[in-house]
Formats: sequence, C-alpha cells, structure tokens
Amino acid sequence: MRGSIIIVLFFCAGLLAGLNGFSLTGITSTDPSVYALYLLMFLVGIGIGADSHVWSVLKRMNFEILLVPVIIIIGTLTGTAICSIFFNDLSLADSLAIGSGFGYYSLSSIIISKIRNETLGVMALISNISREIFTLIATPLLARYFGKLAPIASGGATSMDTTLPVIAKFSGKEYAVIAVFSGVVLTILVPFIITLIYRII
Amino acid sequence: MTEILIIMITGITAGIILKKRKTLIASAEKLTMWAIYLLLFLLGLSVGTNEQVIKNFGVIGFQSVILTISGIAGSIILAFILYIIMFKDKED
Repeated sequence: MRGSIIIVLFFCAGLLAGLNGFSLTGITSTDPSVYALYLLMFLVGIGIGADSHVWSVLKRMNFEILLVPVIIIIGTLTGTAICSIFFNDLSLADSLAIGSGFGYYSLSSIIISKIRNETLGVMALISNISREIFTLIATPLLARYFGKLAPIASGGATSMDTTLPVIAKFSGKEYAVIAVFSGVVLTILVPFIITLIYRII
Repeated sequence: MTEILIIMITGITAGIILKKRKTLIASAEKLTMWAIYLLLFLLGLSVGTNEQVIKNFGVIGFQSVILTISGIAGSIILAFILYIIMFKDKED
C-alpha cells in the first residue's frame, strides 16, 4: 500500500522522458490520469477495508492514544500555516495541503497535482519524502530530547510502516503500537484532509 | 474533488465485503502499486515538460523542505507537551 524507492524511480523516469521531449499530448484529448487517480483511490480503499490489521489496531484506541494523531495534525497544520506567511508566492491552502501529506508522498502528490497543478504536486512529493527521510535520520535524537512521542509525530503517516522499525527501536516496543495506530489514522485521513482544505479555504 | 472521497469510501466498503477473497485482494494490492507507478510516471512526465517547474526547481525544492521542517516542528512541539502531560508518568 505504501511507497518505496521504486516510486521515486518511476517519477524520475517520467521526468527524464519529459525533459527529452516525450509527451502524451496529442495521443489523448482528455487527461487520462484523472481516471487513473479514481482507480487508485478505489484500490487504496479496498486495501484499507480488507486489511484486518488496520481494524484491529483501530480497536485498541483509547483517549490518550487518539490524541496522538490529533496533535500531529494540529501541529503540522499550525507549523505549515506559519511557514506560508513567509512565502509570498505560496497560498495558505497550498501550504496546508502539502503539509497534510504527513509523509504519504505517493498519494498526496498525486491528489494535489490533480486538484491544483504539477508544481504543487512536485512540492508535495519533495516535502513528504523529506519528512520520511528526516524521521529515519533524526529519530534517535528526537526520542532522546523531545520525548518518545516525537519520532511518531515526525513520522506522521509513515510511522505505520517505513519508519516503524527505527521508532520501535528508539521509543520502545510499547510506543510501536501507538506509532502504528497514529500512522494508520493519518494514512486514512490524508485524502480527506487535503480535499477538505481546498473545500474550506 | 469530493468524488475521490466517495470513490475511496466505496473502495473501503468493497474491501470489507471482499475481505475473505484473498486472491482478489492480493491482485487489488498489486494493481494499487502499478496505479501509483503510472501516476507518478505521468506526474514526472508533466513536470519534465513544464518549463516553469524546471526553471524554478531550486526555489520549489527549498520551499518544500522548509514547509516540511515547519510541519514537523509544530507536531513535535505538541507531541512533547502531550508526552510530558499524559505519557511520561506511566513509564516504568
């Protein structure tokens, strides 16, 4: 369900093809990738619905654990909102939407490039990949100086898979459960939050 | 773009119903990967042919990373506060 280095390679392959003058315009009159996005959203949904692991994790929810993804959402949105003040050419909604990938770069970049444009899609890709990379590198320091929830906050949606091993190692096994829960909740919410932001703002 | 949410919820419902049919779910997951590959290839392609993006790649990259740092910082600060208030005492 989640990405890997192969995803980035496909993006780079497309990028290189585009730079060398390969183009799809003229082959089809309408943008085919909108339908590919619809198909993808349906498939992502099936993946979530059929994943018994997801539901068993969600059942373990209690008030304190529920607060973790909630504060990650509030913190990320507040941080990116403040950041957008300093970027004149970037609107508040776009900053918030890019932040709302919570590290889930494949889906967030695709959705944002469809709702807005390629430039913002690429920004979402770079931004959310760096969230994952930062978490992988900084987790030992974060767990030590900012508490054991900090790596989970930094990891965002990735704390359920790609960054889970490093979080489990430095925050401890009991926090691995919280990491998976928070990651699952954020992963499911990514498309909802991004769409909602563009609806409201 | 509300349609993507409706489509996703439909997918979740379908996933819950079809949970037991393992081969079907497995092929859906394989297809998911390929849909992601295709869409990111297409995103790369439209970026590669978009001079606006290529010319400003440095600025775009810089802004993206700053946005990430701000978002991470915001969530870490709140996570630290939450940790001190509700989690720290429960550790042995």
